[in-house]
Amino acid sequence: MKKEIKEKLKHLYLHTYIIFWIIIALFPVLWIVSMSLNPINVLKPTTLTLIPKNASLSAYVKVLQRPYEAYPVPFVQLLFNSLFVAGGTAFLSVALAATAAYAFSRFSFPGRNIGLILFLVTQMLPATATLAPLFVILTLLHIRNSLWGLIIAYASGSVPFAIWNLKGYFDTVPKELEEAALVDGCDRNQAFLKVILPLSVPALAVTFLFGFMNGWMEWMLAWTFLTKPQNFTLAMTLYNMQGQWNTPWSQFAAFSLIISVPVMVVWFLLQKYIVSGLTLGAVKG
Amino acid sequence: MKKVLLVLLVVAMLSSFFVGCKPKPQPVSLTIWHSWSGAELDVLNEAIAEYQKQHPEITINQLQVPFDQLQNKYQTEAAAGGGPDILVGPADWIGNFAKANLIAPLDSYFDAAFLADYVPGAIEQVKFNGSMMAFPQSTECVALIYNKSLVQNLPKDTNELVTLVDSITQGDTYGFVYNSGFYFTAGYFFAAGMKLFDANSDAIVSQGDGGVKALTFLKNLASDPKFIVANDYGKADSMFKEGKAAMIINGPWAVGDYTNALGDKVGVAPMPVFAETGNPFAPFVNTKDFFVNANINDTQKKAAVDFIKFMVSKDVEQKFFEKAKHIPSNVKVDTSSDLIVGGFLEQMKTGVPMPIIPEMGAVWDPMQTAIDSVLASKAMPQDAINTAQTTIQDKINASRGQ
Amino acid sequence: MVDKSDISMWEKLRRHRLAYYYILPSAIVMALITAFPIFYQIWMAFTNFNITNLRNPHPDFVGLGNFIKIFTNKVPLENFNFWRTFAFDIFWTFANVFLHVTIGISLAVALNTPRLAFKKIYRTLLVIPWAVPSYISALIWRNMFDADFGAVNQILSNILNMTVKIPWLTNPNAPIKILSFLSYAFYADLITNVWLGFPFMMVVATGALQSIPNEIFEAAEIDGVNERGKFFKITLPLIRSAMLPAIMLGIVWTFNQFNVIYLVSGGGPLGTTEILVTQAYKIVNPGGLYGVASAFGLIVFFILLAITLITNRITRATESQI
Repeated sequence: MKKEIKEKLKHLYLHTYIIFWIIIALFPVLWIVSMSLNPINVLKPTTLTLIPKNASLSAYVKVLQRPYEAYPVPFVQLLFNSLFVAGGTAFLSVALAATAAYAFSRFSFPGRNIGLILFLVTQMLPATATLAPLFVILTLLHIRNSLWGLIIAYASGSVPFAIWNLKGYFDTVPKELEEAALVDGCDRNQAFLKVILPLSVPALAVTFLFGFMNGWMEWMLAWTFLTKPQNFTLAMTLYNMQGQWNTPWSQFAAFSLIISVPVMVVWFLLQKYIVSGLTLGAVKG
Repeated sequence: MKKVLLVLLVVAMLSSFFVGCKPKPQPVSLTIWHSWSGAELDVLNEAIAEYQKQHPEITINQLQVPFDQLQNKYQTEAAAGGGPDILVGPADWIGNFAKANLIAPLDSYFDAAFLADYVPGAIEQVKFNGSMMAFPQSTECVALIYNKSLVQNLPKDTNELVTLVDSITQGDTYGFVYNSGFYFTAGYFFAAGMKLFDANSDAIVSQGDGGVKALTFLKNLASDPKFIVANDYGKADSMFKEGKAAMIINGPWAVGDYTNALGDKVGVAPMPVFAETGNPFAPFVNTKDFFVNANINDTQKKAAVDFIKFMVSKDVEQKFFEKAKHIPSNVKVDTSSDLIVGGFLEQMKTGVPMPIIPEMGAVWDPMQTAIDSVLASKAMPQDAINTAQTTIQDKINASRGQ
Repeated sequence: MVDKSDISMWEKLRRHRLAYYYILPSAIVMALITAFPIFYQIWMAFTNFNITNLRNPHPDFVGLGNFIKIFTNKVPLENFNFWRTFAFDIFWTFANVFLHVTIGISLAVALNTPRLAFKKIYRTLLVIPWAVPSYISALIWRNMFDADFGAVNQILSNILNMTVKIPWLTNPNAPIKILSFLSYAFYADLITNVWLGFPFMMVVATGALQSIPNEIFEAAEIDGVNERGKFFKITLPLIRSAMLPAIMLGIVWTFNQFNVIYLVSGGGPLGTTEILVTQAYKIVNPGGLYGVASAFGLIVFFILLAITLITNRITRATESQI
């Protein structure tokens, strides 16, 4: 009886602590919601109200009807492009990283540690002056002005994290399972495809999600490389709403929420994988 | 050998068929990159539709690019040998583009008779090393924008301004939300007597006491709690829209939004005279221009220039003026109907043209730093302006490769 | 390696060729996309490449000139001070990662309590900062730090029942005198980035915690170990190996956290919150000094490499358990 009360008290304390952080996590988002409902496009509402005066949903309607003001690309087309780029980035980075991570996890070979560091190292050079050479190389490959070019460029940014995360997870898969498969006459490739991959679904899901988010949110390379409105992505057109001086803040906020919602839905669906699949290092077990 | 001769013969015969025929116009496709939005974008689209009706063989594709990406995107593409045929951008891009050989000189395409219809200052501004590197479409400068229900009598000089603001500010309504960005407040630096460059394009901002006077003036405004002085466009903008700022400094691009929010309460007038010297506020006057890509061939260039000529014709500029509040570069456009634009035109008379030399790029951040450090009490005006002078000149030397 | 030295290098490579085949596809893509820009950047770092060289890429070779300029603070840019920026960046990184990790672990532990209600909803809500595009949230935070009308000051005013006007983004002075090199804007940036970063660490920690069998805690409870003891004796040691690589990545990401600094404080006021990448960006845009910026990029690269190698030495994060 006493133990139960003690647990209740502890839970109460934990609820308070967690809710405190939830309020902090949610507050800026509520601010965006308020901005999106405001009919007079203000960036800095001078009073704190969730539902502003004369609130309306017209910003959402406008954004969905004409997401890219200068050209009548339908919202669905942009959505498709975004899904294509984000999905392609995610798929490519998982595919490339899975094999490499397997090698890093299971083989001991000369250059293994250096190799693992080398992948991370590519993330360390700030890309301030490299836009022009990247432009040139993608032009030479004839993929610069296309969604494929973006996919490859983004994937090269996601692969290092993907390798690290997958290697960490593969490390936790008991070696004995694979050895059993090898004894049963599988070769290494089959062991990898039939034993390791199916056991690593959570990590593959998380890695996929990370690649997806990279592709979903990026706008800067996209704006440098693409010139055809039919190829534009949602993140690009969102960024485009910011004018030199004038920004339709309500529409900007509405669009921000529209863009964030799919990501949050995916998060929610993958919840259980995210927690178990994000294993950057080896958890002994 | 025989084959070659035969082919030549056939070609000669075929071509003789067409001699004397009226040449069928070749289909031409032009691409234009810009960052216009809202009403100005509508006018652009209307103009393109009209032009394509007049010239069925021409197709014009427009691409809207976010303003802060446009210069970089153009630079990257044009440097790699590509890019659009026409670019719309402010005149201060000319210096760097011309230096990097990314835009084509346009002198040969416009004769004196054509140029006679355009504001001489605007035509003068787009000349770099004596060549015309762009064609001006509209002009811009900042002026005083006020809420008529809060301001009845406009202040004549800065002393009156302070008195007026002190009487208006109450609660969360402020008399003046003063944008201390250098672009917005430069008018008082020039009114105080500061100069940017000497004849060799070297910096001279610390010569004389103009800079010190202007910085001291800003410091005094900032120490008055009835003023908000901040390098914050969004804040001034939001407060004015919500009716919580009686006066702000801003340009014609903002007026459309303001009239949507406040209706006919929006007024525009020249900024008050700088009391200490008695000189008027002298804001930067800049043009929005059409650039022609240096990479395209002569036929394309000719087509591009023809389209530009159409875009700056009286009728099209009249539409830009009426619908998007663009202040026209074409003197034939009738602007008398509009009081708001009238306020900007009045202010423009005392303005100074924005320098387009590449050296201008070195001025912005150091001057902003001078203003910010004085407002934050981190430096005395004299020291701040001396530091700015040194930094600007160092930057200029570095960009010249010295 | 374990191999004896009488086996030739080639033999070693051949013996492990399967491993290299597995790495090859990703290595090719990485080399294709990142190698040329990286070598280009290395070359530019030793030249006076500027805007005129965009069309005509034949800049003059300047040797170590760009590096010397950077180390002696002679880069023509307002408020440029490499060493101050460097020190600030290090401090910024460790302050952030420390808070990310402590907050992340504390929440993960709280959410790992058996029989606690609403866990799933809590977890979903807590990862929201991570799911919103970071440049949107950075813009929102910037506005919330406005001195006159920002939400942060308004809330503080309500809580403290007095007018609070903290000049978060405009005052270059330090609110805490002992930490005199940290302006108000540092705290604004820090709050923003902590908001953005704690969910990641929380999720990593949660994953690690769930792999600890509950029986261990129950056994400890029977032995009379208190909450504190459980945390320090069981939880921390067991999640350590999962947290370390995440911390390493966190260090790299935070050290190069461009969006938050650039969009919230813009490196200001007066350069007090400039980190190395925002400084590098300003050298190119609007500075146009591509050569100096490339040299700067290389310096950042070597700093990060050193940090990573040191951390890796300490943690052995790249070791796997075969």
